[in-house]
Amino acid sequence: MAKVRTVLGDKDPADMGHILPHEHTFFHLLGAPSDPAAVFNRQNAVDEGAAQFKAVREEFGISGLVDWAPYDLGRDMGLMVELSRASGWDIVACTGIFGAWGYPAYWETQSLEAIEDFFTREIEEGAVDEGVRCGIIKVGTRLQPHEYPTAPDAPLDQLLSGRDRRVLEAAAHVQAKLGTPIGTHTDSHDWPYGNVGLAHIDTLVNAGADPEKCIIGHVSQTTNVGHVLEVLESGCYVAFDTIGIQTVVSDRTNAAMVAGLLGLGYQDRILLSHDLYVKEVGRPAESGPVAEEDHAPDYGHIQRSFLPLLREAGVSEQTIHQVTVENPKRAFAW
Amino acid sequence: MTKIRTVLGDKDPADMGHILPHEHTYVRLIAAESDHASAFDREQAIEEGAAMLKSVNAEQGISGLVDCAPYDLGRDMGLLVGLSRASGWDIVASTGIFGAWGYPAYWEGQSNAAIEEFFTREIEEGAMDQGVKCGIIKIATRLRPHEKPSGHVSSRDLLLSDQDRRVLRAAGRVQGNLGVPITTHTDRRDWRLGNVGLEQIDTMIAAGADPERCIIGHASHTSNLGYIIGVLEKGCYVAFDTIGIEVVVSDRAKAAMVIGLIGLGYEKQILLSHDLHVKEIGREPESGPTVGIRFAPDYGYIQRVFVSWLRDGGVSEDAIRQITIENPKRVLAW
Repeated sequence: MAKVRTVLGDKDPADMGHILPHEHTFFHLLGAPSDPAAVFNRQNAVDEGAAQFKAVREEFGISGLVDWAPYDLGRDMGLMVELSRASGWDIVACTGIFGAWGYPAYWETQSLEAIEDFFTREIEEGAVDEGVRCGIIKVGTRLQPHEYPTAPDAPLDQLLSGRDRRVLEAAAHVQAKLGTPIGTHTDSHDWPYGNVGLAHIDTLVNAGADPEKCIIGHVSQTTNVGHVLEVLESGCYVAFDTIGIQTVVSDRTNAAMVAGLLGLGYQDRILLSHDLYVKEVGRPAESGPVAEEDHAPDYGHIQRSFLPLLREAGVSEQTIHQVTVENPKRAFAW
Repeated sequence: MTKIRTVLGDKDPADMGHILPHEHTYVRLIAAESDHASAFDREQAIEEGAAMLKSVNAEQGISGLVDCAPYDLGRDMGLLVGLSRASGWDIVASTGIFGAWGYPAYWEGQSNAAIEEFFTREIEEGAMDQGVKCGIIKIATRLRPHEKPSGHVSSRDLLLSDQDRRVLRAAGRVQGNLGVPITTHTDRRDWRLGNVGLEQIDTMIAAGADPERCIIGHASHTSNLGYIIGVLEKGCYVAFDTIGIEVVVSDRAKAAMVIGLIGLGYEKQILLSHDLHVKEIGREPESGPTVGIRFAPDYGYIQRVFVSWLRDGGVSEDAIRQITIENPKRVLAW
């Protein structure tokens, strides 16, 4: 029987409700734990998160999320376990390597086999942090400035660095062995150069991944519907998972894309999420990716403000249920 | 009275012996602690390290070292304290930011004021890790691929990134306030592009640093003696601190440079060290900066081999004592 692996244990998807497929809870950037000013009251943080979750559950019936922060984005298993207990929400933790906002130098120097062993152990035995097991493999890619193609519409092989490719391949090998789903971060800075989502899914599938167990994330940060369609043609999921982050693509534009793709029959392959978090640990950044982003006001933003746009565009309640409730449960079960 | 701040407390330099000014003990790259395979027996690691230090102590009378790993190079205060107690060696810990092998993303996003406060607190109150106080600020600079000037140039202002400059200035200002010494890492790849050491010392002096409290490290990674004299003329210390590492400059060539510089009267500004470590935490890397690098066989190599070449070159016992014993104590005291 397929299960969804949460931080409190494996669950039957039939016993689960509406899970937001790409969110965060608590995260920090590499190095933050060294800052005396990054100290915070853990109980208060859990209480604050639980209060947010409960309010959204009462209003919209949402009852869980997948936290897409692997170790190098400041995943804190103790907080997630406490938050899940205090809120009653199902929380799925991820293994993987994010790497898009500063690379974890150790993993950059390690072999493909070592990376696969790391992912496998975090899924099967649990992370070094509290022994909690992960239910998804997250892989982020982002070109460094010297790696950018010289022109837009670049061939796919110019959209990934060697290390990006290596980590995608490691994730695919681990999925082929265990069946664990993979979710990716495509970077908003990379989309203007070409179809980085297609580069992801091609690399994953060529390395043995099943497209039906792969989610290409952040397609909501390109306005190129042609690119999104090419990704969908592979059979994978695409996530419009930055709803409420309107610095790159507005919610109205994303709604038009989603409505259009649903019209073409892709209702089994679309996921919606906010990429929101309860708390970033540390001082507010002065510069960098976090300082530049705005976010949805809460985890109910899609229900409150985005779904009405889809309804206006003629999307049926049945399709909305499919996209928001059924798709996540299927995508994360293995 | 001036003191040298060790991990076991402040000491009168008069009570101290021969301190190696740029070494390591236990190092790890960012995120190595996430790897199950990084687990190690801490007691045993301390015993091994203490045995290594004591054997050198018995042979050559060396009795201390500066560990130049700040937080992001895996500084572990518990191990440093344990090692100091078990070996009887004086160990000075570093605050600062290394960043040359993968940047700690959190600190890259923080303001100048936050970085200065971080250094200050690690020196005055102690690090988050066990509250142990730091006795020196370590700063590293390294141009990233897209930041490298094109062609072979030695143009000023192009050898440091904005981030590098910002952190050097923060260190300069904290030294201006507290008097604590600064030690730097110049990168062997950057010396090929010009006099990065000069760029570092000029930047720090402009921010309020006293050159007599500054060490420009890894000058032994260039064979351009003109560059080194340019740095020495600023009044700072220059560290030939990669003795035993011959990837760029052979030890014989380093000896020739040191003999020549002592001949010109710079004996009060020269430091010698190995940049050696007891143990790197984690699996053996497959690629990266440490692969294939051979280090000195032990912490006694300079005394046993290198200093004898200086004697052959006519350097007096007085000058040898000056550069190996007096100079480190003078620059470390504040």
